[in-house]
Amino acid sequence: MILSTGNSMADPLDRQRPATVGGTGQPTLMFDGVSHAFGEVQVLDQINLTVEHGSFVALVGPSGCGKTTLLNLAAGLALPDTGAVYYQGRQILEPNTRAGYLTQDDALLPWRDVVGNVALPLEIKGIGRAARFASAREIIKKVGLHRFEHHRPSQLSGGMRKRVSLARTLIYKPETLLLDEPFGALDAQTRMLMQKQLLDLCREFQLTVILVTHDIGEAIALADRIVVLSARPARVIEIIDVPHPEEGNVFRRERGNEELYLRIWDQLAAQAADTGST
Amino acid sequence: MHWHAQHAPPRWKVNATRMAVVLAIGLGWEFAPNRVLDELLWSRPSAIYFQTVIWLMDGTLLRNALATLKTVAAGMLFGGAVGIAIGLLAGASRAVARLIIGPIEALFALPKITLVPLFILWMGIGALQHIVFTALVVFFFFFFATFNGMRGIPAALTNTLALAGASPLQRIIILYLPASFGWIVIAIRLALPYAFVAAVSTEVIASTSGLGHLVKGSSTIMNSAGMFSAMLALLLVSLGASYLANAAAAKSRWKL
Repeated sequence: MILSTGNSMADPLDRQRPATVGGTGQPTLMFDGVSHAFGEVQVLDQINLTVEHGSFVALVGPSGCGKTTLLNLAAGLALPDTGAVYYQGRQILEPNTRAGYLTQDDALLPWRDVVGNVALPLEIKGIGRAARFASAREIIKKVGLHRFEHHRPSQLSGGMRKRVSLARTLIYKPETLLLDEPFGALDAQTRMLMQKQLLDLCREFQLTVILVTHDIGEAIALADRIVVLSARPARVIEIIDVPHPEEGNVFRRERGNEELYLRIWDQLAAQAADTGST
Repeated sequence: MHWHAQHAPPRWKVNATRMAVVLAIGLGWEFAPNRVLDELLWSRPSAIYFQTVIWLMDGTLLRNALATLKTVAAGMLFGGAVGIAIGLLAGASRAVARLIIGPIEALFALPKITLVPLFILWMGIGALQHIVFTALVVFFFFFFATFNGMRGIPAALTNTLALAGASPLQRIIILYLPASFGWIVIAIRLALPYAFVAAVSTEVIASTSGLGHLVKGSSTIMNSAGMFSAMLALLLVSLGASYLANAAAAKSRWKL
């Protein structure tokens, strides 16, 4: 078992220069020497990572390696033990209200209907009822739920609830989306439809996206770049550019990169074997 | 044939049996010889009836029932507001929860009736003392209801509000209170009978008005008919209040 102090295992190359990923050259998000532990369990070990504006980055790594912790740090829901996280050049010290965060759970208010849930962020910003409901209806239409505006979350399917969460996240007009295995609980077909919708919306809103997933296929289908993380404590092992000659079709994007899939699979399998974690 | 069809007796039979039992007890009570049921201690249904009519006519029952109801209502409002407020505080902050849960559970375990003499020293025997004691008794129901309601809120929901930049007040209105609402409704229904117990207990110990005062006053002058009459009034008032609370709760049923 590795209870690392943070210095022994990492590839020195990773620490000397921050890994720069994707996009237009301006950093949206930067992890600078970030280490984090929960009690005695070290989960992040000297993470240096820069995500550029407009890029779609997927983080893959063995289960329990600290991917979600990375997103929580980017969202400002927790602060790193050492190192710092910067969002558009400013250190994150409190909840990052400019990034939309789509979590594994739906996090919808069960006593509110779809419109009330989607309009929530605007309500908190103090925007009037009529205006915020109009915006909510518009974005609900975009995710294809306009016939379910007055349904409660309990009356919707898992895929629909996910789309409500996505609509609520997009109504902020966030510049950045943090996605934590957003489609993990959905059936294969719904997942593919949601992935396509996500790609379309990302283009429309010109979003910077950081996607945490354990699904290599999903990472390949959606991301421009893939960051492969080690088993806990997480280090950056490799950053891979994903070639996407075929735009649009999620299935073809995924199937067109069989070799890449196998390569990442081998890396993750080796990581899991290393520590005995699964 | 359904198995339960054989066992469910018709309604009129149930009601008739009840009536017969009540009538038998009433008649036995009324006509029992004095050496079996001493009239001075047990009174008679007819005497209770006449005492009730007299007190209804001169307004004694109404005045005292209103006094008790005021104590109960003020106690529920005051104890409820403080209980919900402190419950919200403890639910929102782990530090506050750790600090106050111990003392609150200790106070909850204390038989609170022992505090009445102390309260009388501090506040006299007037309405304030009755209301504060009733509020203290119902406080715990509202505190634990709100606190538990908030502990059941998933972290994902709290995070969602934090990321949207919600102020503490917005968190309370949008998330904390609605999430605890079902619990608070249950707290109202559970606390109400205890509010009557608390109010009447303090009235019996020392007071100038209220149905408890009427029971106690009748007892000291050996007016057993008055005691039963006041108790009957208390039973009706308490049942009526519970009925109203349950009806209101059923109407405002929270859809989760």
